Amino acid sequence: MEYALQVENLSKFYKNTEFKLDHVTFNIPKGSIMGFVGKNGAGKSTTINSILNIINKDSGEIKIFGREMTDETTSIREDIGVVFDTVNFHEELTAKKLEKVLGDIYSNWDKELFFSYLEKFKLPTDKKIKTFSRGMTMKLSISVALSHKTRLLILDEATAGLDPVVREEMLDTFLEFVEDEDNSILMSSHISSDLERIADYITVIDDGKIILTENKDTLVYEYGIARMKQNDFDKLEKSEYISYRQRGLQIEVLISDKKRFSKKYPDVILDEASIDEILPLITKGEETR
Amino acid sequence: MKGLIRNNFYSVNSALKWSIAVCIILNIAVLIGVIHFPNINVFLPILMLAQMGAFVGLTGTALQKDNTSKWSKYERTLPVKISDMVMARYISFLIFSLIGMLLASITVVIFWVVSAQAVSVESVGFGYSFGIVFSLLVPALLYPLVLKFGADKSEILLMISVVIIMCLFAGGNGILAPFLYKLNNADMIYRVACVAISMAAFIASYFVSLAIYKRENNSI
Amino acid sequence: MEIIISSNTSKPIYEQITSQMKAMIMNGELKTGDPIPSMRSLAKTIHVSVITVQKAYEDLTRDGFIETTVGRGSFVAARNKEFIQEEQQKQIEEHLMIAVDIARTNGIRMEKLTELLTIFYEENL
Repeated sequence: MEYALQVENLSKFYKNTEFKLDHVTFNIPKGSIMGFVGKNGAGKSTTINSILNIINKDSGEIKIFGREMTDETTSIREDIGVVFDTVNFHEELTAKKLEKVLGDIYSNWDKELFFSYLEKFKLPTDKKIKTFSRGMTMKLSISVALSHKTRLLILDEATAGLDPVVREEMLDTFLEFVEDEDNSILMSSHISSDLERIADYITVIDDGKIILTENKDTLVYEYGIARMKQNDFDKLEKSEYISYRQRGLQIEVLISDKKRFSKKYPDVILDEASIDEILPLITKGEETR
Repeated sequence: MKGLIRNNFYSVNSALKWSIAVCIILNIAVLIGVIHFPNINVFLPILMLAQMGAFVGLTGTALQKDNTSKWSKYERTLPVKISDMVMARYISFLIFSLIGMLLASITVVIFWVVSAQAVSVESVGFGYSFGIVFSLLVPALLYPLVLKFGADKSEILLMISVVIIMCLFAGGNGILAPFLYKLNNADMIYRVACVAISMAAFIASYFVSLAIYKRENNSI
Repeated sequence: MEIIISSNTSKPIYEQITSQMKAMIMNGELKTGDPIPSMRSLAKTIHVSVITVQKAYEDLTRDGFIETTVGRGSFVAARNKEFIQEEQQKQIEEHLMIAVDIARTNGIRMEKLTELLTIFYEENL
């Protein structure tokens, strides 16, 4: 199995705060889309910044296409396209000027492809970026990210604040990108429905720790949330669930195998688990693994 | 690196064009009114410094724009090394200064050719030397400060840098005057020395900035 | 080849893909040897994740409906009659299980069920 990205035991400590990344570990198989979720402040951006070597890590190993990235290894960055959630280019520039800048920087810059994306997304070539709406700047950033033979696309909340029509267009663009099985995507997002639709794997982070990293379909169709009273919960073995939380008079329990659980406890209410329902359960719940 | 320098220029496009336009208009005004100037040798250095100073201000503008656009973060994802990013900025500072010097030189030529009064070497020397020192030392001081304390404070840091440099130049003159008066062309020597020191400081500043940049890598 | 995905049913998307494709193959819409889109292009066309289509294709291959050769793509597999019948029988079993479940939950007796089955079957002849 070839991996586009391997993160192993990534740890980072910030001296003045409690916050840290604690042995973050996950991998992205080549050709897949990894959804990265967690509440605000959970460590998504810190993890991504560490992967991109924008901040220094304290320990752990990060490999992109099998190689560790340092300031020196610019060749790895040739193959990475990044979209952050804010506009990253000077607003004085026009798309045309930006193209000139990047054409000098990227070895594999594809001018025609870039302009074709501009056309596809209906972006003006001669207007200053400061006149662009948020949707337009995102489309511009994505056009840039896809125009230099990118093999790994990293999106940090890139679709946040976009209207549903634009978001759908972006998701289709991402699926188009992975039509080539050499291409992979890491996307962090709060918009769980986007991830449930196009992600192949989901990694959940909370408080700097990875809670789970799982096949998306397994998570959506095999995981479940059981609701029961305290007495019934006490009868469960610890190995039978992932985490739980108290909610009013009932206990919500996260199960990793709905079928098996419901066979064993046919009278327990067992619901499907969407990412939005799993997150509060994991992040507020008690960790048992 | 060419792309980075290009970007540094594009980012201050409007301000750059404005500064050049104002300087040209200034020069045209001088051209028209030069005959009326009472004492050109007082005005010449002032006009030279004003023009060169405008481009020093442009340096501050450029650094501030990097911050508001978060380009400095995005830049890190490009296939360029940190040393290239820092170098590109210093080259841009240098080019800004050269443009300022060029425009100031136009003023010198106008005064020299058109004015009835004789242009003193003294005033031209003063204009150029102070201008160059200023153009080199302010960015040399400003950029490391911005890297250390954040581009959001770039305006304050620019003012601080300007004040420090002015004090140094004036103060240096005052301190060394007793020692230099014995030499011929004491002022000239002082000024050449200042220019040389400024160039050295400019180059040294590159290495200081590089070190600060790499160390500050922990907080974004 | 048209696959319609509904995100509102509780039926997993990969199951929707497999059942629709199986139906098309069994009713002859897709014949033996017909090419079917690659996993990735189908994923893009119906706007779902690749891993979902991958699971559907794996299930279809396991059940003998399609075969994939590296470099040439995926095609409808050659099937013999027995195999088809087996699959159809599986479907009947699924439907009957649902009917039995309803009957048992509501206290409807097996004699009634058999009666209904006979009526429906003979009606169509």
